[in-house]
Amino acid sequence: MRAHSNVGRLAVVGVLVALVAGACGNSKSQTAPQTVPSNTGPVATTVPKADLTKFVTGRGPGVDDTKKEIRVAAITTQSNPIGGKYVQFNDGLQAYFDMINSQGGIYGRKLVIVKKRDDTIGLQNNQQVQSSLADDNAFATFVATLQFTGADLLAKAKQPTFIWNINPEMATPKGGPSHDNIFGSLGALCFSCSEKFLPWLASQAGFTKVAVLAYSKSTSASSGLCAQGFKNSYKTFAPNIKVVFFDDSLPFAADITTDVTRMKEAGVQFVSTCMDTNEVTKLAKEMKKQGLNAVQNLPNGYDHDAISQSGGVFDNSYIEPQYVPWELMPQSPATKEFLDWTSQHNIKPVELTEVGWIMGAMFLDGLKFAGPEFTKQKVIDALNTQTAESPGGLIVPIDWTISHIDPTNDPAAGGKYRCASVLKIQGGKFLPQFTEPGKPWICFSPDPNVPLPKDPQHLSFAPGGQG
Amino acid sequence: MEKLLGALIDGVAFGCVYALLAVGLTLAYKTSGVFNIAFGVQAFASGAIYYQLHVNDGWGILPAFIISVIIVAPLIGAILDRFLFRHLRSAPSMARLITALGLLVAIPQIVLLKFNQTEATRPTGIVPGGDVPYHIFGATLSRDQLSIMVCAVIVAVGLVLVFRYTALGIRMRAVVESPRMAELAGTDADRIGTAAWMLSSLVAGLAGVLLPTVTSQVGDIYYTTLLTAAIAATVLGSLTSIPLAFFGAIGLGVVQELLNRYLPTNSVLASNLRPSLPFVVLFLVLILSPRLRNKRELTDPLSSVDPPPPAPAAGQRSRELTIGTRVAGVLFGLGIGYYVFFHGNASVVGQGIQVVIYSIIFCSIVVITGIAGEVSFAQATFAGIGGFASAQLSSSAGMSVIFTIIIGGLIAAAVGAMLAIPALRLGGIFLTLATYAFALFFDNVIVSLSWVSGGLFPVVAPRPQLGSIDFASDRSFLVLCLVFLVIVGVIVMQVRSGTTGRYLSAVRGSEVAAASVGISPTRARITAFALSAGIAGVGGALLASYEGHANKIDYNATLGLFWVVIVVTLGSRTVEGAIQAALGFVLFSARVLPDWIPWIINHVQPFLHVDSLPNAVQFIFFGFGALTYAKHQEGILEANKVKSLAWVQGKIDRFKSGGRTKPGAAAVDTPGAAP
Repeated sequence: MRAHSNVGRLAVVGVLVALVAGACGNSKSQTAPQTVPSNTGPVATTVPKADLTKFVTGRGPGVDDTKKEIRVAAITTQSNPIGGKYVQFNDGLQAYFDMINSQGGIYGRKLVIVKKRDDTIGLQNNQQVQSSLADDNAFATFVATLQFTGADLLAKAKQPTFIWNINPEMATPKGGPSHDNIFGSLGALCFSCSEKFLPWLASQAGFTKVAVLAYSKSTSASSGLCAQGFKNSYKTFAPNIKVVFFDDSLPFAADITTDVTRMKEAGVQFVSTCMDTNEVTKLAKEMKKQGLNAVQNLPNGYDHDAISQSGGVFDNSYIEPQYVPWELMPQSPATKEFLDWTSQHNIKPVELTEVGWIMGAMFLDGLKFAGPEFTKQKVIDALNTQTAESPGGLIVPIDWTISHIDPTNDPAAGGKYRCASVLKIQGGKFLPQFTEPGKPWICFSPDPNVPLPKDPQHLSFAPGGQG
Repeated sequence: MEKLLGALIDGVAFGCVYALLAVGLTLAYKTSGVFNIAFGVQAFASGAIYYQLHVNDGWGILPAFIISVIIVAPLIGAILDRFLFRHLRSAPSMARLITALGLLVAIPQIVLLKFNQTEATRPTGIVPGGDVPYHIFGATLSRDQLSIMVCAVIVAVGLVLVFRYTALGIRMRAVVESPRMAELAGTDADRIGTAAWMLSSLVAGLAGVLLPTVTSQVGDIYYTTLLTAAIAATVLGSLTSIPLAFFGAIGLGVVQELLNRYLPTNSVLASNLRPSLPFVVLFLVLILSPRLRNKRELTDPLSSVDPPPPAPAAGQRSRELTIGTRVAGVLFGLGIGYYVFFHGNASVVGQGIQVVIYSIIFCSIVVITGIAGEVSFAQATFAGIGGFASAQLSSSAGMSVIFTIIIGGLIAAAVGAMLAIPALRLGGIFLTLATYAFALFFDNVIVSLSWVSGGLFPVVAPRPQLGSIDFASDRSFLVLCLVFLVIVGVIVMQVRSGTTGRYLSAVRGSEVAAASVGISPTRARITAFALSAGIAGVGGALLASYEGHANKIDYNATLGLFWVVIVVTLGSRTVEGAIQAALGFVLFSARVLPDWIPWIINHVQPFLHVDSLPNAVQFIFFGFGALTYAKHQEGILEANKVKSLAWVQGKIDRFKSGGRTKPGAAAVDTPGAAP
């Protein structure tokens, strides 16, 4: 099963025999409120260039002054008898560190992954986190696993932690320790919040009858919440668009024949799902078989291999990558840097590779913001003062001053940037949609009282607004 | 009317998917006496090879089909028969089930060493143009679906004919009934057995290449999920009737499709019933079907002349050796304890806690499997019941955590007893399947309730406090867990050596004979189930408290299968065995694979640097370990302990006699040794 991503709501799905990851699209927010200067990159703490090479000893655990290393540990699901493997996250992280090291590293030190731990199905997450904290002597920890049960341990240890955002643990749980040390590739996840992007997309494409499909609660708790969020989004922001078919009771590996029959009878034009790639592939094939010409929105579909080999079943479907799409021209310097480096070093660039790369870059940002006398706590604190963190402008800026709060009950925690970048699949290729040159993100006001705009803002968050 | 007809046809089409698996599973049981829970992963092996050859390497359909289905699948069957199941013909059905369980754990990992299932998302069937649709009475069926339906019918009809009208079919059944009697009648049991395994593996291979067109991916999880659903149909046929399994599977598909069609999709009923229907059906059939009432399992009537399994090593050694081993054990335990408490870092202490908690949970398997002789696939579920109950009571109701841990155990015990009561009339494999159905139902329905598991965020499970003693720190919590382990260990040992244990042993040996001397098998089994579930519940509650949350992943039914595998591999008859299994379960992934083995590899040679070994190795290791269960039902470690003790005892006797070897000095019997 491939990696799951999506601009915003990502879910992890537990399944009977095991676990499958599923994702739900829609998004995290995208805000480009009037307070955001359009077409400019986020303002980040600036660090004097000379300071970046300054070597200050005694930086604490995880920083080896003799070997001149900043050591990190990675915990990823590498062998999983029942679902996803996320080892490409490590590839992306390693690639980013290699690039930085080739440029001299930071503060006179190299960035080194000292241990790559395997966390089978997330089952040993707690155990691996504990072992890593005790044994790896790592300055920071990177996590890409199906389950993140070790989040509290990392929080208690105040360990700078960088995760692939498929889990909601970035937010501080009710009654648990503060998770302000945990940073993800997306802002705070809200599975059930109403958002504007999807209704806007449906209305732009002229759809008035939509369907929403999700796994049953037993298969994935987040999938059902995600579906409910979609439903509410249409109801709140586009009352003229009707959800004519809604099913949040699909078992894993379900037969979806009848769902498609019923969708056809209801005249569905647009389908939003909170399911993993395999299920949407099955859905696409069944729709084709039954002659239902509805368009899918594929939150997890940014998989070049899978789409190019899908035999055209996804043609006309929409995709929202969680970072600046590679297809957008002119490519942003950060995108180009990633693609060039991976190409030169024979690393296959996939979605998860770029997520690993981005999280490496976010860590580096944290170090830069903390300054030459960095410590673990200083990195955490420095990042948490950032109101628009977006390494190289690759992702929608995250406001770390509020993104450790669960936005389910506090929508403001979703941040002020509610943006998405849209691609359409044609002939096995991704074509950018609704974009302006150099401005990959389509952004909306987070204020629920502001109606759906006909022409939302187009923004770039790259330094200097270069795409 | 057209809608109904369309739903019925769609139901029959999907029912044929179940049918192919249900018929294959029935065939395996009928021809080998093995409830081959690994049938799905055998299918996966063929499916992976077909995908690799046809899709990845561009081979034509026919050559890829011949290699994967006609050649490799039967070859796998022949290998399994030759090296495993041939030696298990007279073994108890539980031994055969455990062996199949080992294969279920190991085979996918072996296939995945070479096959990337995450990218196997473009499966094609065995007919060109598989996507071409045909409109039939309101339903739309693809050519691939039609090919599955045709194959399912051909397989079912063909097998019925083979068993009814051919000598081979009758001989296959005879060999399963009693290989010794069949051989007395001039049948080559080995050859027939091999043929039977090759035939059932052929069906698995066929299912392997056909089913991915339905699931859209070649992944072991899909085969196993579909197989789990197909078990209900297999049980409808009492594991032996191919026509009933076939029609049961079709019926299941039709009912599912009708529910899909007519239930409101966002109703509570739909969201609970749709994912759990196969397990509800399975449980109900097991409980209610008169055909299964005290159904005799396929076992060799002559097997009763086989000697009973050897007594535990602890029961065979001499007094000096007992004292010696106990002193050594205590010293070793104290040494480890000293290191963990006074020198171990947080990781070591954490692993120590996990070893102790899993030892408690695994003691529940000692009770139900090692003492009562039954196999339960619901031990993880019972642990979950204890974990969720304790977490909810402590965090929501504010009750004392220590108290909630005990209540969690009592609730799990009550559920275990309630499960045992209706399931008691079942024996052996059917009882095991009932526990499995219950576990899957729990996973699919109960766990999804937010008042049980907490929903998206797991329920917080605080650490206990006893008066002024706070167990918030890991070291103090380890002490508490050790206290629980000692209590549980003493209970288990008392049960084993006390009246209940003797009753259970008697029932295990011969239920009828036990009843004739006034022992109530019902009472004995309910006691075993309740005690076992209660112990698992206490362990589950401690696990939640240790982690700070009751995480549902920790109590997944599939995980429970792996627990059974690891405990029976290392020793399911003693508390010691449970502790060894816990050590293996925790340390393999925490230490052995990421640290110890790489350290050894990196220090013995300069060419290859290994950072960490994948956890897949653990599954292969213990999966294969379970294959030894039939030979060493006491567990590998226990078996080797018996051998070691015999050796040591020989040395002691030799020393005592001044170097002269006394006839019959080896006081400890080696299992399997000639009398």
